[in-house]
Amino acid sequence: MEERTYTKGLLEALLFLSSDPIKLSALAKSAGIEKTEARELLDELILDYEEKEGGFLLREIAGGYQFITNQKYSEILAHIFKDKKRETLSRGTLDTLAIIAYKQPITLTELDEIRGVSSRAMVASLMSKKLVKAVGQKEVPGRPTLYGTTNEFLLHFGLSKLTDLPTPVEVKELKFEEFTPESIIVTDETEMNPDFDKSTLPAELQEGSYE
Amino acid sequence: MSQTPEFIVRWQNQDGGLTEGPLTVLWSLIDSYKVDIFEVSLSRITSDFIQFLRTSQSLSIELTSEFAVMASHLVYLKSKALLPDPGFEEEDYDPPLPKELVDKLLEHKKFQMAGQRLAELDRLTAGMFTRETNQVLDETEVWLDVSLVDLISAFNSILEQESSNEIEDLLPIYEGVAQYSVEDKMAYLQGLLEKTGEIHFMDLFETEKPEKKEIVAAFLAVLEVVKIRVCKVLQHAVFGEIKIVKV
Repeated sequence: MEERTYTKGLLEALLFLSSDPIKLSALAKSAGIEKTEARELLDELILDYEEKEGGFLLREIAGGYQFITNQKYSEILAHIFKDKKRETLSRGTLDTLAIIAYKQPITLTELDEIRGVSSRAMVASLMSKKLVKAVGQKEVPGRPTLYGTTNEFLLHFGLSKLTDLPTPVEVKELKFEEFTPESIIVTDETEMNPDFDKSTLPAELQEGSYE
Repeated sequence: MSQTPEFIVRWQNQDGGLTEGPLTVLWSLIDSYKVDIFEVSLSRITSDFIQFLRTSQSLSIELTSEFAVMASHLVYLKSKALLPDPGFEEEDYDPPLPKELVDKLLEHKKFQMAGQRLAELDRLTAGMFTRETNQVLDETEVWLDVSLVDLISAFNSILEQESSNEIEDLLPIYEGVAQYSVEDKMAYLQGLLEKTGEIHFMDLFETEKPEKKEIVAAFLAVLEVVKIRVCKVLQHAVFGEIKIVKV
């Protein structure tokens, strides 16, 4: 039992020292224990912090473990650390991302069909933000590129795996009063990351290409 | 004589990427009717949509071709629905939206709502911070070359633990009558290295609580074996412990 407490504390110390998520395998190796035992101890740690309801929690995120501030302080911390706060994404970007996340792998044409508008620039912008990547080609004439989400996407939204995404509601189950009419946004900047090399995009997303 | 508009609002962003299309406009119309989507009148939404296009034009809002396509599609659906249905005679029959359009609208709405959920998640996680330290735990351990300062301080911390405060006479070491000589320590170190390939700092001493004489001898021996390139001294990048490894 003594040994177990010691190892659990060691894992905690390792996590405390790292700012990036640490993979289970790396934690187990550093503490010199089997992965199964490490997972057990880490699950305990996660619970310990949850029960404590303190300022930070241990999170399983994108296949690793990491300390993160408790979401109940999200608003105030975002206010205090204005300069460190991450920019939130625009609605158009998020809608597109939602479709890619739930429907992946998906082609540009299928994406346009759902959105009712051309999504080329949107996908290019999402790729420059490393939230979306090309994951292959569809085996149909023309072999269009298939798109899917990245590991960066999981990190961005604090998810451990794709299945942690909130399930989309079937709209038919809702009464129309529950639909929230949204004001129409007239402009929206699909900003490309300035350091991004556009030539790495699939040809169909390059400027001046025709669908 | 047409007036030149003073400004043009483009329904798209600078990269030509559309964010809001005809489906969004159809939804705002449906929302304004305050009826269930299955009860929306096709004629009403068609004329309202075309009205929206006209208004946009008069406001100099440049819409993309998708809007024109949607308008013509609506007119087509409406005319198809108005074709006389054999055995079905009614003057003012007001057809509902055809299933294909309803499905498309619902699908669009579903992802709009999913996007909203993501937006909430995005806002939430934007305010969740992680620590900013740079202790990277690698799959492989990182050992750095130790600096002389670190080595001296390691020996110093051992010296401080040493209880006797007397100033000892260190001369015997050089006269060879001491319990610990640098040569013996060097031989001891090399012997250990041959066996294990590496020595942890605390294993440099043969006793649990080394005397000053032994500490000094060990220190000089370590410097000596490093000088003759028999081994090198490394320090753990994260934990700072010191070990001596064979070259």
